[in-house]
Amino acid sequence: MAMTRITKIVTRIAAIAALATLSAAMPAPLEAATARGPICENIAKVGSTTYYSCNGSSHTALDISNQSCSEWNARGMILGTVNYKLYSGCANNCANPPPNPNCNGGAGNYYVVSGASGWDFRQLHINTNTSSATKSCDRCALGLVGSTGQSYGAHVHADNRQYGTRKSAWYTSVGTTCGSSGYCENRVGTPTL
Amino acid sequence: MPRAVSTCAPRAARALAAASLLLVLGAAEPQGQPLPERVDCALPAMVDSLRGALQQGSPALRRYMQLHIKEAALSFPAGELRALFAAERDPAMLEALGAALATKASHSEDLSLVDPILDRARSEADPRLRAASLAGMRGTASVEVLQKKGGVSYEDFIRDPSPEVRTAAVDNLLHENDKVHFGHDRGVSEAAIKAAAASPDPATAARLLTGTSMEQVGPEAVQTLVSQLASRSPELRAAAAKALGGVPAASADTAQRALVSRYPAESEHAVRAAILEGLVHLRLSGAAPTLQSLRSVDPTLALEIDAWLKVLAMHLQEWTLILREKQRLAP
Repeated sequence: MAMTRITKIVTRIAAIAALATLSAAMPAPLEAATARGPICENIAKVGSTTYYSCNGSSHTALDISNQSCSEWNARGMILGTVNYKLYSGCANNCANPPPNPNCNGGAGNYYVVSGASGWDFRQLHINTNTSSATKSCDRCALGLVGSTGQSYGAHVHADNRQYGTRKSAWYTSVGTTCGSSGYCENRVGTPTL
Repeated sequence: MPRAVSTCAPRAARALAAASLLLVLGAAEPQGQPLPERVDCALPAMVDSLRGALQQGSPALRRYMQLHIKEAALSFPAGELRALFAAERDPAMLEALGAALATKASHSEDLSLVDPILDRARSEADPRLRAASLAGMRGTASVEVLQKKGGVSYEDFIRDPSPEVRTAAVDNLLHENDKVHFGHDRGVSEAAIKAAAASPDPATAARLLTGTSMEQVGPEAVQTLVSQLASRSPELRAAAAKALGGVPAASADTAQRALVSRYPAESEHAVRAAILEGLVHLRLSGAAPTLQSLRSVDPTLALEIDAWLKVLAMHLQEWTLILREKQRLAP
């Protein structure tokens, strides 16, 4: 009887050890990050989510604006230090319609946080300034809220994609919708990276 | 003893917390009990709350307070935070305050804020305090910061006589590779390889190589990995073999030659298995002929080679899926 019990315990320990080995060998699972609003002014609001202006054509991203252009910092949205890679080269713009809508494929000056397994998080349409560069930081200033690329009215477009396909769960899961706050202390989503 | 309530939260959160508290107190506390004591929204008071949480709080409360102090530090004067960090002698508190300083530095991009952290990580006599200071940098772009600052690198920390400091250095590098750069940064990967090469402890070096993405490393770093295939430690040889499997395409030929030539000379079964894994990772389905050619070298690994060949025949598109299937089929 005692031997049977010991055998069972040994079997269980062996199983736990095998699982531990497996978990050590496998890459860490994907995790949701926390994204906050990009503008540190209280009036910053979400203007578009899954559809442009919430009732137009498909968008599947957040557009956040405080009704200013080239005045307020556009901050990195991910809580915690991550690497923001800058794709620039578009002339700063506040005009509507934009004079160069196809710059960088319509994204204008933009940043990408590249996660694992094809996931990324992007912030688009930035007007660049001396803060603008590829860098690793925690919600630092990336440039100014602007209107470069295919942008009608200055705003920050934020999306979370896997292999280039935009996903909506990162903001719908936390209830962000048109009119939600885009303030920099407010959580607007939990993107996968 | 009156309970402390922080008044430092944003207004909406405070209102909600106060309403919840009144409901809870109204339901649970007898009449005449004193209301919870309010704590000033000042850094020293928050630090006292943090100390209490770290000493007696639940893991959840400790995590909450560590996050709370990091967020609050963004708006507190840097001088006040620096002074508290300089005076601190408790390792857990030192790490939390260091993390707050490092977060403030990352937010404001003022690298001078990390100077006190680096100073104490280098010069504290007590190894627990050196390790705690270094751990305060975890989750930031510390490799980049050290490169910009100059004078100290992770190779120095990995040579520290104290195992606590060496562990903190490894934890920082692995965390940075995984959570800050998601495995995409050449600087962090190469810093990890250099630290592994400088490590006096093969187990530490193996942990570094196993946990670091190699997707961006340059040819010099690949040569370092190749040289570690000849280490006296089987654990490190196996880690180097697996790491060589993840190097960029430009170095794939170098890595493959090194792995194939090491295979017959290798005496350890586990290291040979790691070499097979490295070869598969390197070439995916293109590794099949190489695996077949190695079958006769060690008949005890024939089943291992068969398992790899079966998985490769599935044409899975991601290394994680290949690895998972291999583990399912493992002999």
